[in-house]
Amino acid sequence: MEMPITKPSMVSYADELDFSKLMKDLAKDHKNGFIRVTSRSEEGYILYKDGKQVAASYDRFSKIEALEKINSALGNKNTLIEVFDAGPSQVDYLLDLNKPYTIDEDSNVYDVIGELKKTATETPEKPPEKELKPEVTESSKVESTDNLSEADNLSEDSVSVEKVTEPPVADEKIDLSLKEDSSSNEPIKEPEKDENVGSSQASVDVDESIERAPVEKAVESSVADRLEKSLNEPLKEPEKGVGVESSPASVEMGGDDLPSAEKVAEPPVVDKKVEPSLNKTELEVESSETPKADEIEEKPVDRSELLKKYGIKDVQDGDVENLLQSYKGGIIDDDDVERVELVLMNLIKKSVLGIPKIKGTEVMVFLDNYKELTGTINIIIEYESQGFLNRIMGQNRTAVNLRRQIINIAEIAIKKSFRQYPEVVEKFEINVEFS
Amino acid sequence: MTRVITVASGKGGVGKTTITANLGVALATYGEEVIVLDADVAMANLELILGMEGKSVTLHDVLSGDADIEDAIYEGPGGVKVVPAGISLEGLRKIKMDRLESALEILIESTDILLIDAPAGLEKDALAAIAAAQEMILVTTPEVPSISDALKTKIVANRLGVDILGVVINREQHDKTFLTISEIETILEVPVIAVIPEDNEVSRAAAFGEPLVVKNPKSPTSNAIMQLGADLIGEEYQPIEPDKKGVISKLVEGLLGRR
Repeated sequence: MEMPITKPSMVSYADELDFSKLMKDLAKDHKNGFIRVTSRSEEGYILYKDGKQVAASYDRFSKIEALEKINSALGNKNTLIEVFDAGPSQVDYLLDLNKPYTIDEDSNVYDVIGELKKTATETPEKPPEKELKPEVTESSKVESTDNLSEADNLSEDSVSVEKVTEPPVADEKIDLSLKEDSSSNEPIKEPEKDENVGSSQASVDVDESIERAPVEKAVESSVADRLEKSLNEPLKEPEKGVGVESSPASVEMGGDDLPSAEKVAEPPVVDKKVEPSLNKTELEVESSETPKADEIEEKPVDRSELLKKYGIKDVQDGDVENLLQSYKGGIIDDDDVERVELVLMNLIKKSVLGIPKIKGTEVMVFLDNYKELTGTINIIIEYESQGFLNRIMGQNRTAVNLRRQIINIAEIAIKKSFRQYPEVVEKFEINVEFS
Repeated sequence: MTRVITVASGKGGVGKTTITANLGVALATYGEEVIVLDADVAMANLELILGMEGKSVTLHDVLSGDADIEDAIYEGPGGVKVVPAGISLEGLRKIKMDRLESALEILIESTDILLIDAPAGLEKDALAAIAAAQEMILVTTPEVPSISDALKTKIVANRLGVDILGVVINREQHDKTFLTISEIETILEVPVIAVIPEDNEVSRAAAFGEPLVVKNPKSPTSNAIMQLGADLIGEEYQPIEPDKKGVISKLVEGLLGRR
């Protein structure tokens, strides 16, 4: 977003700031201005008017996606948060200037913002991962944001509002949050459920979830709660339809899961009804998303595959040899110097004698093989004598042309002799004399 | 024994000169005797980054046979010694890269580490700079053309018997359109020894003619380069954290009597 960067009214790092409190304070005081969030090389903005968020951007993302990215960035303790104050008219102007980033007030984005605000502080700090591998950090965050068995299937976009409002995906999320709770208490039940479902993918995911560290589980549960909260309202409608579709198998699974889920998270009644139907939907979602997930998760380790993927041509030994040959300047063995001189001499002599009116020629080739191949070629020409008039009128011109022709012949002979390194011709000095 | 390390990339514009200049300063701050030599005689930029342009005797003069290498060594920021290439194009044709070898022999006698900023590409001048070193640092950005050229450079360096210390990934960004660190390692078959994030501070520092590690030692790039320098010589480096508290919060805390 285009923002006038002046002096910030507040500057802090993410780990030192209660972001939810900041947002609450801004809302309470009906403040106008914007927040800049800087994480490594990425920058994000939240424009707020009268205490409400009206536009957001982060890196190349906008609106809700930007807020999600900002939320992720807040997990990094080095993320810089700057608050800039602005007047109401200034905010209007900025809003007009940054229309593509304007958050639609009619959507339930505001709820999500609220939840995102909470997560910024509620989410326990992950151990700072190496800055050297930022992508790992990002992906791990995606994993924690997504729910357990979905983690492999859903991309970052899975938390987006569009998907949240779609009944099947939303249902799935709620179900997963329940699974997660139950898995933390009764891990043995989960595989049973997966057997019923018959999806190997699901069972693998659950196993992973069981093995996860408590911290990660805490992160996930808070995220799950957050999603649950934000999804409560939009889910009320789809809930009915989904309940009707529930299959016997899925009801069975629901029966297994519900008691533990109730104990832990005490999910609202709505969620209980939604959950059984999810397994069916989940299967569909999983089966349709699995190839995608494979693309994301299964990074080709094989080098040749990677080269193919990026269209990078592997360098062949022959290429390197040619390259190094040119680097060496076409240096030849000292023993070969005399032989090359002789070959070159004969080649030039033969070619020069082919020119009409040349009675005889003497060619001398001297090669210098010290560090870099250089050479000198002296060509002495015996030219057919011309008449007196011709001598006056055009001998000079003829001689110039002839000299040029002989130099060309010599250059061709050099190039022929050093096919691998024709540039060597520039290292030769060619002298032509007429006798 | 003097270490001769060439910083090469293959592709131009990946930040090789910036890294060489800052790495040289970084190594000098650890107490090493360092000479940074700009072997990129056609596109010399090192002196601009270090704010040392306009020197009377440069590598140009040395390679042209008009001056001795000793006369082309200058004291740079942070105690690093610099041999600028000379920006002038005059006399470029007179240059003989063969003279580099004898110049390097003299430089090696008077330093702990000789850092060579190699020209881009694999032309004769670049190959001369690579061949002159025992060790090499490969610089690349996480983009395909850059990786492709780095691969060629790496293979040629291998063939020349140069030990490749690792890859420095410059201008790393959080973007899935670029290659990941592990992908780069797999393709180049060389370990990644440093990842330097995209940082606007780099161009700002260049505009000031000051190495970033001096101008802004708290920046992520400075920290990454200092760490790289430390790793090269087996030193410990404690990254310098940016000021955590803003001016206002410090002021408020001061007024409230807190520390």
